[in-house]
Amino acid sequence: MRDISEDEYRKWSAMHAKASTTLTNRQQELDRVAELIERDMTLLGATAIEDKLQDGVPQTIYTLAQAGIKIWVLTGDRQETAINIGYSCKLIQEDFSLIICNETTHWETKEFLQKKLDAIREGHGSNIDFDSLALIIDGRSLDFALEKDIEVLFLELATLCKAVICCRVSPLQKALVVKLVKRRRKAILLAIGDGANDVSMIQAAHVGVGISGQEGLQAARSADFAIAQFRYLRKLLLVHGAWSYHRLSKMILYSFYKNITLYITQFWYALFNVFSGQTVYESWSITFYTVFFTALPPFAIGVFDQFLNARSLDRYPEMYKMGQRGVFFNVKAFWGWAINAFYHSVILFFLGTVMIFNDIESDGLIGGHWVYGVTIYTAVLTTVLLKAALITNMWTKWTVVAIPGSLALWFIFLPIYALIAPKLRTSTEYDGIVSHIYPNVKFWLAIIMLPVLCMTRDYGYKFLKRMYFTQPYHIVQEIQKFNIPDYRPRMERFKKAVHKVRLLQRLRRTRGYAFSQNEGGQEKIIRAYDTTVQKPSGY
Amino acid sequence: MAGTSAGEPKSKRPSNTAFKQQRLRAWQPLLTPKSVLPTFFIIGIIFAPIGGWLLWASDRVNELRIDYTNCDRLGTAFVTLDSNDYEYHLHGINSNSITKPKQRYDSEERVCTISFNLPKDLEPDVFLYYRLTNFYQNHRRYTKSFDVDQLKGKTRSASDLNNGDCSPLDSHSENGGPKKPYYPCGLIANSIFNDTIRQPVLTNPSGNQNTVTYKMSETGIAWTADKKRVNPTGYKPSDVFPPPNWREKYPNGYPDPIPDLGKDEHFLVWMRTAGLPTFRKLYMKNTQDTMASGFYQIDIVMNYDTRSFGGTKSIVISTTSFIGGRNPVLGIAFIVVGGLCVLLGCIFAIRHFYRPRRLGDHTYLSWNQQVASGLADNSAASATARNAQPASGTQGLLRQRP
Repeated sequence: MRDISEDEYRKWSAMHAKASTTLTNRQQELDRVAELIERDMTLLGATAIEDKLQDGVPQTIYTLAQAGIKIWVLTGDRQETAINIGYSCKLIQEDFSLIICNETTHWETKEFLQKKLDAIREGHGSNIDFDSLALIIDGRSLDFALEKDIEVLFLELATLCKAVICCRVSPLQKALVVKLVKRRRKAILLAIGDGANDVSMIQAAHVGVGISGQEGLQAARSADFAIAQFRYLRKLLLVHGAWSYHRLSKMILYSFYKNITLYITQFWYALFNVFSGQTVYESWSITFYTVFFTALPPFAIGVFDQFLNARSLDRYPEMYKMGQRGVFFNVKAFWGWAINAFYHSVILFFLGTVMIFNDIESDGLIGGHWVYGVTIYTAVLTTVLLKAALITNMWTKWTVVAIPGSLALWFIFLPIYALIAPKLRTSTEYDGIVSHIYPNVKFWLAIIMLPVLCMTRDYGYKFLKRMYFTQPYHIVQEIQKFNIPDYRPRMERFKKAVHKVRLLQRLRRTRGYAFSQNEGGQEKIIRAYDTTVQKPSGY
Repeated sequence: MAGTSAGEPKSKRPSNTAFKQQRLRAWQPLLTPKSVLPTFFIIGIIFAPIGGWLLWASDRVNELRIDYTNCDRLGTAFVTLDSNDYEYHLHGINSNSITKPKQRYDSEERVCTISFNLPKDLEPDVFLYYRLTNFYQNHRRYTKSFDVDQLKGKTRSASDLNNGDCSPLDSHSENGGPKKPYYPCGLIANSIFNDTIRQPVLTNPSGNQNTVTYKMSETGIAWTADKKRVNPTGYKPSDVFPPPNWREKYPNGYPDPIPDLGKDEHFLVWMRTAGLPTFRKLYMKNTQDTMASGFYQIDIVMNYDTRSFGGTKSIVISTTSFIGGRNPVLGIAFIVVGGLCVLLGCIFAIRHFYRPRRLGDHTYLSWNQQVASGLADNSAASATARNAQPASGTQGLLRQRP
């Protein structure tokens, strides 16, 4: 500040008026006049605005990168701020080569991107580490880069880099970038934002996540998922995402399997009844198969099953990559299950038929069609439920209700139905069948032997896969179950030490007009005052 | 946020129960050698002997079958059957040493006489079945072709039965007269097996009699529940026609009163349809007397034509065991399962002891190996990860997947 006398002001005001109305170089004249008055001032103080990074953001971004997720930052901040934020949240490391695109015309942008892309491609053989490339592009160049003829170029360059930071980006450009990647790449996109300016981006992506909080609820309202803090994204993706993928895969594959197994046995029976369409099982039993007796296992698997618990998934972000690669649900897996269902149906039907064949019971009486049908049906049901038991990773009490409970339900249902249905005239097939099923030794032998024979292959193969064709998640399951301590802490500490050394090296370089958060360092100064609390009146 | 006038706003925080936070107490089974190998061996050790026992039990069942489809083409002299037409499974007796059965046919009485040798006594219970082949009682239209109410005794009119399950054998009008229902209607009842198999007669008994009849009863051969399904009917004989194939038995319609079909156990046995095109049905049984060894003759009145549909008919005399008739497949299946499990157990056990894989070993995690090798390149590392060479057995399969 400086006190100006009335006199000085009048003189200066006249010059200022003249400068503001001049026809040539007005801006420069105004600047010159301003210079005249802005001197000999006393410094009163300094203000600072802190836009704090949320808790846990650097760790989250680092973990997501470990999980094989590529991260792009689209921000409205200026370039230096954005770069510093990138360093702060460990999106880019100190040793990254930054490709900074600040071109102002269409052709310059195109040339720049092409040049950089060629340079990278040529240098591909010699030591260019794709793990340390980052692209920084500002809003103006991004406008050009999103145009039809450059967008492919831009996208190729961007996907080669480990991280992309777009600064000075408008909300429309955010959505356009998302749509560009969606259109031209087969990847799944997740967009996360917390303000109203992120809404278009959130809605354009495959999965939109809104952070509810400081900047209001706009983003949260328009998103597929709303979380309260950025760091919860880690649990959302690594734990719930992995669980959801695994559960859905298993549930879908199992549902196909159980139905194929039952209905293909019907088909085999058609070979023995001149394809007349007679069912080997009673018709309501078939209906209730899907409704009552095998409805609960997929449900239990889809709701409760956890192939790894939350702690393990959190600790080993690489487990997330299995979902990215489609390890659990792909064409091969589907046909594997379908063929398995065929194989089971062949054993159940043909071996079951031959076992029952001459139909004579221990008292010499003949069993007939429906005793045969109920035996095969129960064998199929038992096999299918045993398969559900085999694929379940986690047995909660609800799983016990679902899987053995379904079989118990069938054994309870059968006598009740055999009693009531003939009286109600819905189906007379089961009339009198109970005394020929429960005391029938052949029935019990069949439903013990057939499922065990079917499951032998499944059990042995699963064991073989785990022991000798091991996948990483098998190892993690064993680590989890046997509580094996992880030797990696030493690795983590080592990495931290390396990071600190590089930090010190970096501090020697000039930083620009912004501070960025580091571990330790300036935080103590910045946080000396709690700015959310009203300043006490007085001094 | 400030409270509303109603007081403290409800917290939106989800409840921290084990169910909602997916922290339920659970058992996580893993297939490790310690659990799988014993399982295989235990199953093998349990199933194989059971199979052996079942096989032994099935072997003790005595059964003989004689086909008499083409008996009505023979003359009055006994003709020896060739080996396709009979089958002997008698415990402890070599089938080749048994005298071959013979047949002859009396075309006036339409009676086929089968003469066969029973080399050993059959302990009670002894059952006699008739066996049909190529007869599809499991055809869809056939299986539902009967009327429950009519069998229960209700007098259903021709219009009631019209287009019901029994069609086309629901009703009939003779010589332009009124339509009367068939009793019993439907294809199953119509196609009933109507050969009469007479009791077996021992032609060379010890002692001073010429022949001894082995009395077998034709009651107690149907399910108890089946007997309750058929009640005496309320029809008058003039109200109904017998089914077409029953005309020979009732040429002038039914006698008065119409016979109670619930007492005709052959009818009940026939109505309980079989599931496969080759089936047996119980004809008569003897639960008290031993069937003594010797030469037997059985007379059968040949009414039933199986040649028209390419089928065969045979009689089967059989005893039973606790698992029913003779069926070695049950025992063999158990033995196969037991053997398979033991075999798999052995293979896995050998592999496990020869080249075991340590469980939960971090070095198998491929990203650990990558990091280890990457750090080694930087030559700033101390060896924190274990030796990057995986233990034998995983052969780089893990390393290919980052």
